[in-house]
Amino acid sequence: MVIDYQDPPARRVTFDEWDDLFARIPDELIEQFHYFPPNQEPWSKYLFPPQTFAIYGARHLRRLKFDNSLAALRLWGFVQNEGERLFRARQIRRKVVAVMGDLGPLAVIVNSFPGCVAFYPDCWWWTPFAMESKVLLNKAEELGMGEASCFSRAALGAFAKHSYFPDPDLVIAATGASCDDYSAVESLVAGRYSDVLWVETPRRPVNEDEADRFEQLLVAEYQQVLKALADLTGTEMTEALLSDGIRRANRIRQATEQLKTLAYQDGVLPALEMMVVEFGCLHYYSDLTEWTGVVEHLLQTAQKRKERGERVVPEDALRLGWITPPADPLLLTYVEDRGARLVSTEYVINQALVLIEETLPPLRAIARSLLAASLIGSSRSRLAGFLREAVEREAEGVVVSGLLGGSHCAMESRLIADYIKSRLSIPVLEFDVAPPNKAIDRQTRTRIDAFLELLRSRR
Amino acid sequence: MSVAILTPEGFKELRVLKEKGRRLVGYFCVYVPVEIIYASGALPVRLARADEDSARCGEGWLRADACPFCKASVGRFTSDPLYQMLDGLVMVNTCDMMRRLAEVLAERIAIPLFQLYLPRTAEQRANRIVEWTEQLRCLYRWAQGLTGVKVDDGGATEQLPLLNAIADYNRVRGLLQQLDRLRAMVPARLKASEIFDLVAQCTRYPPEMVGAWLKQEYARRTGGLRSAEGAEATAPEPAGLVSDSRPRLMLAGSILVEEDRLLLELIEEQADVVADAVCTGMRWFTEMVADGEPLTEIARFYFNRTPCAFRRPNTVLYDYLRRLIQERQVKGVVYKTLFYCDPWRFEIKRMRQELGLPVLEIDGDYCQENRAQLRTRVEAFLEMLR
Ligand code: SF4
Ligand code: SF4
Repeated sequence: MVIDYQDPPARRVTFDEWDDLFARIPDELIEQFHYFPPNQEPWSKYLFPPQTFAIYGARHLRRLKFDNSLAALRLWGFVQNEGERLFRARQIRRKVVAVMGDLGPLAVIVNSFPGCVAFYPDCWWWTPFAMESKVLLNKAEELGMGEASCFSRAALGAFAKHSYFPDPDLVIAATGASCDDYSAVESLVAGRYSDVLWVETPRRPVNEDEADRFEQLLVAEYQQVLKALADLTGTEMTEALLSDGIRRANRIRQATEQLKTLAYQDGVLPALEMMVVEFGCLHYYSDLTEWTGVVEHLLQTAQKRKERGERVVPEDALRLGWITPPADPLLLTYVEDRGARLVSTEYVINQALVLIEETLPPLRAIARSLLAASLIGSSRSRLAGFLREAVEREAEGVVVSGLLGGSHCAMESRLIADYIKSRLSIPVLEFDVAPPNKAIDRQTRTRIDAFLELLRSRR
Repeated sequence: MSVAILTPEGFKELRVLKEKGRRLVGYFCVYVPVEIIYASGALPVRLARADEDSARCGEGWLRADACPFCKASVGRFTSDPLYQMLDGLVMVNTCDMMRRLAEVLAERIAIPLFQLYLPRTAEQRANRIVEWTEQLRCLYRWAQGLTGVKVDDGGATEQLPLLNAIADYNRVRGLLQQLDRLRAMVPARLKASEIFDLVAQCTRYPPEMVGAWLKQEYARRTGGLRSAEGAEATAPEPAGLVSDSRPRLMLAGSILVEEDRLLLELIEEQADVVADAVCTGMRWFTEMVADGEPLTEIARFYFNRTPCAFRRPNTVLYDYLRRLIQERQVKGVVYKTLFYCDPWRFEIKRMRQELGLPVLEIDGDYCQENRAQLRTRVEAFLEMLR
C-alpha cells in the first residue's frame, strides 16, 4: 500500500486537536484502510473521526493525548473497531476462536488455520476504562467475581453480555502457572457459557532437563489444539502452514521490538500508543494481516521522525521504567504531561515479543516461546530484560503499578520493588491503579507528582 | 489423644523424633505426596497453622491483599518453633499465591526448598501425568539427598520404601474413612471438629504412631471390642432412616487451619457437619493409592484426587459435592473462604446454583474481632434450615 501523506511535525495532541487533524486526511487515503485484507468491502473500513469512537462509547479517549501521525490514527481506528470486526468475521463465515489466558502462542497456532480468527477476551479488560463504565465489572460481580479480583473479570462480563464479541466457535483456555483471577474467569466461562478446551501452562523451567520436558508437555497440549481446530475448520494443519504462521508472528514481533527501541530510547512515539502496540503482539487485535500493516506503518513513521530529529517527548524528560499490570491509559498520559517519559516497560506480555525460532519443528518452537513468559516465572526472571533496558537507558525511577486483588500483585509487588531498589539504587513508586474513573484519583496524582519531584531533585 | 492444636506434648514428640535423627520436612498443601517424603526417611509435617498475629507479621513481606494463609505462613517462620524446627520444605504450585509463596520463602528462609509443579489442568492426559510422575521422581531424589538415604537402583530396593509408605498412609486413610462414617450416621456419632483434629494428627506424626491412636479412637467410639481394621462389617452405615432434629451440614471452601476449630465448634453447638470438601478434612483421606508400580500410582493418586477448586476443569469437585450431599443427606452448606483466595471465592455463585441448597458464605481472615457477628450469622442460618 502506498501511503502518500505528510504528517505534521511530531507531537502529542488532545482529542479535539486530533479530530481536526482527521479532517485534513484526503478521502482517497481513508478509503485505503480495510480490515481482513485483501478484502476491500465498504463495511471493512476502519478509519473514522476519533469523535466516532467516543460517540460509540469510548469516552475515555476524550481525556487522553495522542500521537499526531496518520499511523497512530490508523492504530486507534483499528483497535477501536475490534468488536465490530469479530461480528463481521462471523458473518463472513470465519471461525471465531477465543483464546484465553495463554500469553501469546495459541494465537499463532489459531491464525495459522486459514479462515480462523483468534481473539483474546482477556483484552476486554480495558473496556471499562475506555468506556468509563462499570457495566462489565458489575456483571462479573453478579456472577461471583467482585472487587477482590483484577479488572480482567470484565472478560467474564463480556461473555455474559453476548454483545461485545460473538459467541465463539471454540474457546481455548490456557491455565496453570499463571494468575488465579483469570483462571477463575475461565472457570466461570466454562461453567456457564461455553465448552472449553483446557491447555496446560507449566511454570518457567528450573533447569535444562525440565525445559526439555516442558517443551514436550506443551507440544502434546498444542497437538490437542491442532486437532480441535482441524475438527472445527475441516483443515488439517501442515508443518508448512504452521511455519508460515510463525514467520508472520515473528514479523510483528520484530517490528514491535524495533518500535520499542525507537520509542523508549529515541522518544519518537508516546507511551500510550506503545502500550497498545505491545499488547497487540499477544493477539493482533483479531486480524494479524492488517495489524502487521498498522505496526509497520508506525515503524516507518518512527524511523522518519528519528531521521528528521523529531521527538514527541522531550529529551530531558525524566526517564521512567514501568512495571504492571496495569497501566491505566490516563496514567501514561499524565506522566508524560508532567515531564516524564518511559524508557523501559514490563507489562507481563514481553514473551509475546520473543522471536519464535524458525529452525525448530514449529510446535516445539512455539512451546519454547511460551516458556519465556514472565508471568510463569519468578519475579526475578520477570525483571531480567526490564533491568537490562533500564540500565542501558539510565532510568531514573521505576513505577510499579498493581491492582488490589490481582493474585500475583499481592505476592510479587514487594519482591519486585525490593529487587529493583537493590539492583539499580533508584527510587521506586508502588501504587494500585484505581477502578475505571473519569480522572486519576487525587491520592495517586499526589504520589506521582511527589515521585517525579523527587527524581528531579536527584538530577 | 491430644486435640489438633499442637500442644506442648505433641511438640515435644516431634522434637524427640528430630533428636533421634529424623528429618522434618514441612509442606502446606494436600497435593504434596507425603509417601515420597516418608519413603526417603524424613517425616512430612503439614503446616496448617495460622492466626491473626502471624498473618500481620507476614504483611512485612506480602501485601495486605495476599491470601491470609500465605501471609500467616510467612509470619510463622519468624515465630513458630515448629516451623523453625524444619529441615526442608516442599511446596507445590497449586494456586498462584502458593506458587509465589515459594519464591517469597526462598528469599527469607535458609532451609532447602523443593517446588513441585503440578499440572493445573485435571483431565487425564498422558503428557500431564508423565510430567507429574517425573516431578515426583525429582522430589524423591531431593528428599533422599536431604536424609542421606539414597537408593536409586531403579529396582525393587528403591521401590520397597515407597511401597511401605503407601501401605502405611493407606492404612491411616482407611482408618480415617471408617471413623468418618460415624459422622455420616443419622444422628452423627462423631463431630467434624474431631475429624479435623484427627486429620491434623495424621498429617503431622508418623503413620505408625497415628495408626494406633486411630484404632483406639475407633474402638472407643464403637464399643471397643474390635479394632478399626477388623470392624468394617460392623461399622454402621449412613442409612437415612433415623431422623434427627439437628441440621445436617456440609463444609466447603479454602483451607481450614487448626485455629479455625472455633468455627466448627460454633456450628456444632446446634448442627452436625456431616461432610466436607476441605483439604484439611475429608479431602485428605477420601481416596487410596492403588496397587502397582509405586511412583506411578502415587502420581495417579495425587493427580486424580478429589480436586481443590483451583484445578481446571473443577467439575469433578462439583460431582463430589453433589454425591456427598445426597449420600449424607446434607441440608445446607457452610462455605468458608479466606479473603483473596481466588480459587474458592470466585466459585461461590456457581456453587450456590449447582448445589441447589442454602449456602452460608463466610469470608474472612484470622481476625478474632467478628466472632459475635459470626455466631449471629451461623445461628440465623441454622434457624432458616429448621
Ligand atoms: S493483572 Fe494479573 S491478576 Fe489480573 S489478569 Fe493479568 S495477570 Fe491476572
Ligand atoms: S486450599 Fe487447595 S491449594 Fe490451598 S492448601 Fe488446600 S488443596 Fe492446597
